[in-house]
Amino acid sequence: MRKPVAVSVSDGWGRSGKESKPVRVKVEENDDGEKSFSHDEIAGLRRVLLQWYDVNHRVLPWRRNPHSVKAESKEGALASAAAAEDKSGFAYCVWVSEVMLQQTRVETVKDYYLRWMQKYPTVEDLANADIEEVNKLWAGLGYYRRARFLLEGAKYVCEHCGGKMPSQVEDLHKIPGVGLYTASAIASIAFGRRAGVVDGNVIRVLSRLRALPGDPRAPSNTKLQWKLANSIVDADRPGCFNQALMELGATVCTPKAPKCDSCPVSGSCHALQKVKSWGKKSNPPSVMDYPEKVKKKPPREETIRCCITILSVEDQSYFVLVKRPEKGLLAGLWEFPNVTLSGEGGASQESESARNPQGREQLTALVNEILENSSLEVCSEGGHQDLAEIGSFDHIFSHIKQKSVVDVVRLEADLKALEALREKERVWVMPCDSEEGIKSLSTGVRKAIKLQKAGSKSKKASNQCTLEQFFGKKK
Amino acid sequence: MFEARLLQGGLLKKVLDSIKDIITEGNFDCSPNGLSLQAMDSSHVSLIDILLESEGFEHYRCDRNIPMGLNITNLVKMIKCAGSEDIVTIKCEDKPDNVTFLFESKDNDKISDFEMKTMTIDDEHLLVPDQTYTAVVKMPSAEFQRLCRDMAAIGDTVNISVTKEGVRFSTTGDMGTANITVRPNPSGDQKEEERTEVQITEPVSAGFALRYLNSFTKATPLSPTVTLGMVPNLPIVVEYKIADMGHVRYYLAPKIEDEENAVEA
Repeated sequence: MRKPVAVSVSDGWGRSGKESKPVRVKVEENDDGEKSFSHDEIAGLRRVLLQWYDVNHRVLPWRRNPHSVKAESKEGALASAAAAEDKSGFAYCVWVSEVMLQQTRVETVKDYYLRWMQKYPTVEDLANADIEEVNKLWAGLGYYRRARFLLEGAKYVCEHCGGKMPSQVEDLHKIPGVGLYTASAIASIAFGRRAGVVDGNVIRVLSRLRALPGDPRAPSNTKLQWKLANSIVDADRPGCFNQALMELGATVCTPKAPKCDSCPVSGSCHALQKVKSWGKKSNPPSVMDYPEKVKKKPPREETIRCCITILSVEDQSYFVLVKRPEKGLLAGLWEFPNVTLSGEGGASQESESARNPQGREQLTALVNEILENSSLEVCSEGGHQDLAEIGSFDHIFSHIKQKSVVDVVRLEADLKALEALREKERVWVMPCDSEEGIKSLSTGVRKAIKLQKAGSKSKKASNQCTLEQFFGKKK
Repeated sequence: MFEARLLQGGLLKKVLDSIKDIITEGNFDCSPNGLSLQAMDSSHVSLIDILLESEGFEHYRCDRNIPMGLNITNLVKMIKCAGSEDIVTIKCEDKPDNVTFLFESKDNDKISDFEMKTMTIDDEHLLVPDQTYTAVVKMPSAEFQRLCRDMAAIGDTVNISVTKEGVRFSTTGDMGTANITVRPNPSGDQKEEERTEVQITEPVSAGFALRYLNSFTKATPLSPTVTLGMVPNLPIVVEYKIADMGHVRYYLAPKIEDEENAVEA
């Protein structure tokens, strides 16, 4: 049975009336009553969620909650009282934290956030940075495009907004790399604009509260999610309300094993009602049925072969790293010279590797190309300065499962050769023992270094012989 | 031309499974005596030696020696399309661009054929000397597989030492050390294939990388027993016999302890 229902929906962004009374708006006729919140429910959600949040929220370096009952958070809020007037500065903090938190765990983000804020305390500081530094600071967080976007965004803010963060969702949305979610989060948290947010946590909470069927990321459902989020956001404390909703998703309404017993809004949860009213029939539903799980495409598989090139100059050893292209995966980051063996390439690469077993020759040629004009060379076959395979490891990107076969080659070099390499733009000669340097590399490259270091340790204990040391060659 | 018909097609799959973790491509040498393959892994630490004698085939014809270079990874993919009970026929010309694999189901109600491109592989063949092993251990292949797997959970290298009393496998890792001794059991009570036998003219002890030994044990389905042959300071041989047909053998170069380390020990 369908009946036209009046649903409360926020009439737009930026409204911040004194009353948290929702605005009544008539909704399209085909809208199902099940998929919305009643006036009373909304009032209840706001009250309960904010109360819950003030008591239970996690204390995080980018978070400010003057209503918090937590002492440490209050102190933080007081300490930043002076800064509280500087809404643009706070907006920048929110922006950085929100971008870092996309696809990354809170615990991991904390350290990165603090280091970032130390290096780039304001949006101007960031705008003046170069991509090289930014990438190095980001190293290990993954999804490196985000770092690039932050930098480009900061430049945009300085050029087009006079170095002040805009306060309206629409203007924030214009910043390169800032999507609707980030724009709404910044506007509500830093500027108190009344704008709902929808992220993975909110999708889960809303899908369960209203028992929403279907793929939550399908366009029509995304629209519905935003509509719901905008309809329930609190007018007085929209930032806290949004964070409360996300916090609930992160700590209580979790993907697996949700803690319905300690959920403050379980009374409004349609998914939970379905579970409770099921009786003793078989195949009982679960709160976890929502949101519907959509099968992801399995990541494509790819194998690369990389060569850890080590130069020994007097007592010091150096890694030779090259820069990745400015576009695509891990854009502009440093890595060891490598060739793709299978996966991305088509038939041409296949036949290539047929002639050169496992890309060994290609890789040797590549390393020699990099070493050009430095009087250093890797021998193609046999001998001391040849590639030696030390093992392999897997690394999973969001869409690629990559296996890396790792070779090591050690070359004796002199200072002149080192200088010649340092002059090359896309080559970086990094001291092997530089912790700072290793920190600035992507996780995949660090894994290769770990493998090499472990290998050189165990090499001391026992040396693997090759068969040629025992058996002669047959003509 | 070359043509060979094998009644137990499943055998071909087992043979490929026993090498696919070690090499990605290899030359199958067809000769009047049979089908053989010799190949080393990319780091030249281990060597695979396969022989399938012509007598083991139901039908076998080979007029001259033909090297058949094949991509093992692709071959495995292709064999997966065939049933394990199928009868397989392998055919190619004298200088083949392609090799044909024909699969007939047991009841003769399904026939599939696959044509696979060959490739030119310049592989070096090593001269494996015919030698008398000073220590030969025969044991159930499943037990050896289990042992290698257990050892690999603890360390990277296994020390195998053979004395008259038995074979001792030991390894050391971050968590500690492990020793497993397998004793020869008196003949009589058990079936031949469940027995452990040790023949020895001189005690031997050497260290080997478990990573390789573990990939060798992929050949376990080929044979109920495995034979280890050792000579001091030489590679170990791990042999799986294929009944009425030949063998899959693996040679593995030892790991040699540093002198520094040896003094400490």
